[in-house]
Amino acid sequence: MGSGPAIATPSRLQPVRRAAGWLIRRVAGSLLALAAVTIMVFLAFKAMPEDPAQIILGEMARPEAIADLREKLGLDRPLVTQYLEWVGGMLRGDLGRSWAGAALPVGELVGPALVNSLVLVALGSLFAIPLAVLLGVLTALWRNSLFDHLADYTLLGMSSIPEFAKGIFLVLLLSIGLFNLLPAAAMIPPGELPLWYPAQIALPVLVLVLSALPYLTRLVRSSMIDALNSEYVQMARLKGVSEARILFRHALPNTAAPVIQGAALSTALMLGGSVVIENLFRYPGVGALMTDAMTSRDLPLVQAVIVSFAACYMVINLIADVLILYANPQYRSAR
Amino acid sequence: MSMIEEQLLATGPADLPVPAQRPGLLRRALRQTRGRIGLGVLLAVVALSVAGPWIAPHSPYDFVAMPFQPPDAVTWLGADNMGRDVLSRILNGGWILMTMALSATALAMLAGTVLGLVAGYAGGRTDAVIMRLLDVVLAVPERVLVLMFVSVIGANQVILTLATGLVFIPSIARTARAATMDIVRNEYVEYAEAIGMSRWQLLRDEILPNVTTPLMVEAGFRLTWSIGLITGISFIGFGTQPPTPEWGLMINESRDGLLFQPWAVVAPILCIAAFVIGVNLLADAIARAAGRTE
Repeated sequence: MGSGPAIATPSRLQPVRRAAGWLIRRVAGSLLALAAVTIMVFLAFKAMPEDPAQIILGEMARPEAIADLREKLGLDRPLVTQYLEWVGGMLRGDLGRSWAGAALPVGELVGPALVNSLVLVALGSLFAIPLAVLLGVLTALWRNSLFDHLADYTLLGMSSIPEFAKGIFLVLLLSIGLFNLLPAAAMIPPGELPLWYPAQIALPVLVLVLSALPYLTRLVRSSMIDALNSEYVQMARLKGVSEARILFRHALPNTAAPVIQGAALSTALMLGGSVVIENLFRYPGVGALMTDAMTSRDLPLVQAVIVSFAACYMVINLIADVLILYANPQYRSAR
Repeated sequence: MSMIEEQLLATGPADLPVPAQRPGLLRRALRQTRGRIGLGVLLAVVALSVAGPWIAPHSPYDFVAMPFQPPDAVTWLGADNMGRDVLSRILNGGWILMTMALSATALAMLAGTVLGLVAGYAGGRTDAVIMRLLDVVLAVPERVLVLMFVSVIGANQVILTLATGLVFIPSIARTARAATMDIVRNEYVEYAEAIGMSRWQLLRDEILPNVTTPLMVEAGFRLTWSIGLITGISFIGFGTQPPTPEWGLMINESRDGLLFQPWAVVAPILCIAAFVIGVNLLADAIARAAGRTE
């Protein structure tokens, strides 16, 4: 930045402009997909055979009370109006009120839970990505060695055990069976950041890391092998460049794009995986919130959680795309 | 492998359409150790699940011991949270999970392949509409989407199977579409169109056989995934319902006894793991045979 010539020639600016145009289209596309998700969620819950007013008031409710509540909830208005009010409310930050218990605003329930889940997922990625890069590079460098084969089968085995089963094994191993090191359930006081309770979140994070590792390591390994076999690395070798320099300056940077893409995918998968993990460890995140809401038939809450999952998905993928753009040498040199 | 060999491998078969009758993606997969191990493990799990209901010592629903009874002469793997025989429940539950996973994958393969073929072959607006619709499905995590269907329609194994199939459609459609578009550009498709083959005939007789390799690879991985997804959702209580002896649900039911009677939990986990490892190894060998990794 700022180190280039003062007057940029049009040909140097062109890639940047193209990248900006692409990014705008990409953001617009994502927002459209998100809008489509809200329509899907809205219609899905409208297609539900039960009457929401009946769910809230219970089986014994008088018909007049149900009709009254239907009017209050706006259920007698046209579908389009109902949809626009719901989406409009979300845009203003008003997610509606929960149907259960104290009728808390949905936002107050989803917000902290979302933070908790994102902390979990971020920690998972924070440990999984460097570990996968290390393992992937080593197995690529020592290709077909005993270490490579051992890692390959271990990772394949690890990816074969579903997340919740991995979690139970870890509980058996680390918290109640063999050792008594870590708590089996994440007791995090409401309103506090889980980051300050490392022992409580260790097991859920470990499960996420172990779940993401197989896929990510294999990805790093294969893109590293591609890079090491490429013509420019062969060329560098012929020129007598040291192996360390080849690794860090030539091969590794070229694995960036696929690895970032893979890291985004695995982060997104972790977010989906949190639904099951959070239930296993009673971790107070959106996944557990969603299943609790499903059990109590608290539909506004379920809907809000689904939409927030989609929004997080969208943001993670956008960040990945921007990073890939940044990692692409063509655009970097144009800055 | 030398660079020239790799070049040949990389450019050879990819440019030429692979003849449909060429023997052996599966045979090439089984030439690898991992493919053979995978098939062996898978066949063992399948055999146990199919023969299970006949060889089980007890009924999966009868209370034959104290809750969380440790293994003894009557209950070889002990009893579960309600005193039912763990071994008999495992032997009776295998085919349930197997049927669900296979149906979900088959459903997704069928719908995904048709959508992908049509999108890739038709191109233009049809392609755009189909792919954008599928993007909507991809915009929500798989498990969350499955849970949405479950919360709208209700928690049971049919809904879980259908929903699992549905969330897998986009990735299969993408694979089928990409493979179709590669082939549509080939001259023999133009030729076939020129000699007046109908579109449907062309899709069925020329394009479909040529997209089977990537689709087989995809099917293997989707089957692996579907087992994890189905057992996971059952585990949190929104899939198969009690008293069905489904493995994921069994793990959930006996969780509280993990300390005194770990077998009630560990045995179904090991069965699920064996099932997935078998499918996964085989899928991996197929992928390697198809040249997807290295």
